Amino acid sequence: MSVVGQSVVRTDAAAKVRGGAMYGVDVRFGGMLVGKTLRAGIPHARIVHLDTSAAAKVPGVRAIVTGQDCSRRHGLFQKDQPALAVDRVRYAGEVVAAVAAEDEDAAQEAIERIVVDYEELPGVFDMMAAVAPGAPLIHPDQMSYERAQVTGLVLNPVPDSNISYHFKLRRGDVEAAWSQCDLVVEDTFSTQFVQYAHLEPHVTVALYDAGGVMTLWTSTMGPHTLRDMLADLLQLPQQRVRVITNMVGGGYGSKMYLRAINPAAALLAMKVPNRHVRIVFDREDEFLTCAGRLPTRTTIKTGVKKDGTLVARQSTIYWEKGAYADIGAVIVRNASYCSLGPYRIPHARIDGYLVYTNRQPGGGFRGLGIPQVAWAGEQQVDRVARELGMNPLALRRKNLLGEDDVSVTGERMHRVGLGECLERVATSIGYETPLERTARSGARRGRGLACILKSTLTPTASFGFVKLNNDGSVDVITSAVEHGQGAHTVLAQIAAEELSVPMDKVRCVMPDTSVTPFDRSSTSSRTTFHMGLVVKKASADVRRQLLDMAGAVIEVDPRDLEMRDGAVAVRGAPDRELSYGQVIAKFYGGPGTVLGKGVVNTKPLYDTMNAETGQSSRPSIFWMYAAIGIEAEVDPDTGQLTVTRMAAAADAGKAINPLACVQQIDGSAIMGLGMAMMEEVAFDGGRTLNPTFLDYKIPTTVDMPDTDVIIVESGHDEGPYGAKGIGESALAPVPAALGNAVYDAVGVQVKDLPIRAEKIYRALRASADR
Amino acid sequence: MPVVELTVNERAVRVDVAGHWTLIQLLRDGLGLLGTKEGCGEGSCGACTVLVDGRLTRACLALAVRAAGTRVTTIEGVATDAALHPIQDAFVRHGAIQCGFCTPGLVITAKALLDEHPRPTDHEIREFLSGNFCRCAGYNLILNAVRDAAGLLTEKR
Amino acid sequence: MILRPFEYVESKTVDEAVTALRSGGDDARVIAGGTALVPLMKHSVLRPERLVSIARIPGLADIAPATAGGLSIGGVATHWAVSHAKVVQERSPLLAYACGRVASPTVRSMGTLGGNLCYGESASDPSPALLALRATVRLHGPGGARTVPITEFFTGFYATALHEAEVLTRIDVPAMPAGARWRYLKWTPRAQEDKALVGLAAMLVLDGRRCRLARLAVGGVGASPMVLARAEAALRDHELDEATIARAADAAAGEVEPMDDLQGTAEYRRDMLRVWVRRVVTGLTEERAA
Repeated sequence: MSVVGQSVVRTDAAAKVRGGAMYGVDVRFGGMLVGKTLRAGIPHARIVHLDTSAAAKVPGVRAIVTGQDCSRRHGLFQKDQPALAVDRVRYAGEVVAAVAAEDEDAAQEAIERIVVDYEELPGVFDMMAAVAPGAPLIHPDQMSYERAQVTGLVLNPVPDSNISYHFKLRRGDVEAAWSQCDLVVEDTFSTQFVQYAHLEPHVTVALYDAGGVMTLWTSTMGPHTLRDMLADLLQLPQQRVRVITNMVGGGYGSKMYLRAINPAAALLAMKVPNRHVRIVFDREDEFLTCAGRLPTRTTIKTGVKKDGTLVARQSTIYWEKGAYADIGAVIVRNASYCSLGPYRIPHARIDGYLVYTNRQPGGGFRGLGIPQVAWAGEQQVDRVARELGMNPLALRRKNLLGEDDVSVTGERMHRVGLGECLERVATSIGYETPLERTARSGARRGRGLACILKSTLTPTASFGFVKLNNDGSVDVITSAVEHGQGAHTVLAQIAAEELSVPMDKVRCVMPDTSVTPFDRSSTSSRTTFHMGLVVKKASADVRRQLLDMAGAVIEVDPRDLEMRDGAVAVRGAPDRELSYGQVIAKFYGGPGTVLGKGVVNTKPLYDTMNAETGQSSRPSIFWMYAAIGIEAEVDPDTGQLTVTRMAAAADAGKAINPLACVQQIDGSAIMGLGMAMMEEVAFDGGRTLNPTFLDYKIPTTVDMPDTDVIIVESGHDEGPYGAKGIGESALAPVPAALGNAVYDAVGVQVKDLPIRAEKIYRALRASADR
Repeated sequence: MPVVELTVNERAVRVDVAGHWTLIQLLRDGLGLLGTKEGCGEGSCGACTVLVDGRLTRACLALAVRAAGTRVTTIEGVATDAALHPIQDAFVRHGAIQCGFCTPGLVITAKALLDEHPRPTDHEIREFLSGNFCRCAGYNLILNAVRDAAGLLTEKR
Repeated sequence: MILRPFEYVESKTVDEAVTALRSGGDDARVIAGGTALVPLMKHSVLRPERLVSIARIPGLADIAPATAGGLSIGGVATHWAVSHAKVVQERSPLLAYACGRVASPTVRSMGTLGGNLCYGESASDPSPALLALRATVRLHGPGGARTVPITEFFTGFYATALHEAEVLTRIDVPAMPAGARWRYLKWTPRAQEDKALVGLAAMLVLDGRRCRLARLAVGGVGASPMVLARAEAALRDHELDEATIARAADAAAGEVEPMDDLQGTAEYRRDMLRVWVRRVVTGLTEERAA
């Protein structure tokens, strides 16, 4: 292969490095109105009265919308979220009104002149309080909400509760199994609300034109999903709703669905036909209105034989969804069924609950719940090892899923790159070599490992075209979003490879739902696999047609023709060749095209997960595996934690662009460190205390350890060239690996994220006092 | 509306601004130079970094009216001709660009770093870039790019 | 997060600035580099209607040697300029270093030393250094000019001794004593790039192990940057052995009223101050003299 498997320079890099790439924030039109949103500021309240009359009088104001402007609700699994708050607000950042004006100052002034009378309601700010009997109900009418099936899942809300979904897995007989174990341990762990902190904020430009077509230029990771949901909300046919996406400045699972910004912009646009309305969220809006990572509380129990064989594991996980259900159920299911770790477990029981509270609604965030469950499960694995007197790596080796093993969800697993990931990170940090326990500074050293498995959204259907132009250049026409993960480069590589053209003759177009066919989203590390296969198939379709056309033109059997370097040639007679453009021109007697189609439908391979047992012979079209090894130091006098070395390994199946894989693995691992060590949205009841980067810290160049990035390639039977997904997996094991390293260093097990120096310090003092 | 006269990327310009605009509004809304990005608006993330009279500046905090009479360099002015500046070229080759939103501010900051420390140590590179967030978190690759660019620039001198 | 309209006054002299401040009353604010003020305005914490710029007043950014080995630093000298100035590096390396630890290079290029002091933030990096150096500040206001010792300048949580319509025009830094050993320790346990949880400036003059001069000041712990007077007294004129240093560290821990916030609890700040006083003083005692 000439281009697949090469670290080809990213096709978007040159424009980006010049400052010439167009992002959502760069979309401009003449006469564009500035839109702004008004946040509730109070976490649970009835809207008694909302008065926009003073706002309407501000010179330059052209439109104002409130919840009264749209009676319908939206929501991926259940339609629980209004376009804007109607009679009730359920979290402090909820949008209650929006304004469009000729300039930003007018919009801001108008927002400040909207008067809202609230009757505060008792709020629920803690998920355990939310599930306790008698808790105030955040969605008292939940049972009457319209529900939909998504990736084989339908909500099963518990009546008269704040629980909108309960995932269950039952395998073997856990209750009987405990008595067969030589050791049983149980722990409870918790994780925090984490901000996406993508540098480009949410932005939407909306236009409702005289033809009744609603167009959105927006930075989203899922243009078609957004289109479909908006069409439903506005009761417009889908072909009259158009979503266009340019370069996206970071997603990580954010910028999905409708949420608040899209209904606000669209409703404003409907009030001012033929005028563009732009809403861009500022960083406070991002911190207060937008989503983040779901906080969790996990109780996990493990039973083993004294030789380290895992017999039974049980987890109960509460997932805080905040005010609206959104994608939450997928996170609960797809992470809960991984919560017992990538091991052979004969007896298993999992209960995962999606819980409403009056806090910010989380969303799907890189790793989709695996970081949270691994934090619990992988630290407990180390604890079990310690209590058995076994090396934690040896314990993992003994139980790790391998080729032909059956997973806890009942699937026979193949091409499991997990073991290689684990071994290579262990080797990289010298896990089995002696460690100088005390550094010259007096800091205590430790090492930790963790490993995970993660699924991808299944079933999905993905579509795309590949178009050959008159000059032999190629357009790849898909809804794949380039949000930094390198999708456009990888897809171009595949087309270039399959059509034997150089990279600089291939372009991936920007998603435009009027033109680029349906794709669910560029999330879940699914784009290389799904859209890659689409492009491969569409390219094969172009090849077939082109060879047929060339055969007709040259009067040769197409089977005797080959494609190379932009030309079709007769095998064995290299002088008898025509460029692709010449084939088209001769076949049509003039200009034309060759249009190939690709469809990838994973439903035939998918086995719906049983709602009572959580068993499925194939719940995911592919599995991602990753492992992290960390060496860290703890200053025993202060608790300060420093990561001195990190190794990150992820199984790509096949690295179509190795450097792009390094980008993803390295980036994921450092993002994982942020979650592990420093990131935390702090709440006081329903109020966010730190909506600013001055007090919400993310990793910078000075936080980053030397990182050894390892790409494992175990192949995949259906993936393009054996590739699967790589964008998320290396993040998930990081917090647990760090927790394990901390224990190894100073004998302190931190159970709630993030691992802060003060927590370690207090734990050390407490154990010293005992 | 005040009129501000300044030099941007070696060109003299006159631009209408609002008296309370920041420099980034002057650049993006006043001059249509969209390469400089606003990531946070509070001076924390570094995406908006430009040079004003050769000094590193957060365009989201600098006032537009103060730019009068100054020489501003934005990302659009870094490549001196059709070819990329060696720092930009190194960023491209080393995979230091993912979503790219932090890239303009980082390139400007890296340029200032190498002007001040032509042979920076790793420690100096990290410290100097510590005020530029990259959430795609490609720091290791960014470090490689800056190291490479330092070698190239020093050769050029 | 946008700025609301304001009147912008570019003062050509200090008197002009004072007049513009005075006539603006509560609605007027000084702007130097803007790195503290503008974010506050963006977050709607402050909404001044008049910004009085002192950034272009001739001479106000000057950094010059002063008599007897000291320094005279104009109020709008940037942290960058102060940390890079040869005369500061030679005469007051503690100050040069502390200014070089402020935030990040870009913020240091814009932010001014005077502005930093007037912000009154506890976790300021230059403030503990200037306290340890026993600097003075020159203030110009409607009532004329006055000099205030830095030790009296920080009066509370983001509060300073500045009167209404006063401008900080100069910081006078006495010479560092001959043979002084110094250190500024900026401790940021939450993230490497963060404001100090403990920002400890220490300067010692030792004669063998006998301490002739001890200056200790800290930011980030209490509501204001402060001198650790009891700790200083516990070191001065003593032989610096382990027990003495421990006593000084205890004294420091006892004389602060630590803050409680997302970065750390009050108890943690107190304990960490004790640890770092002990470590920094021990380290200075054991290193060879400057």
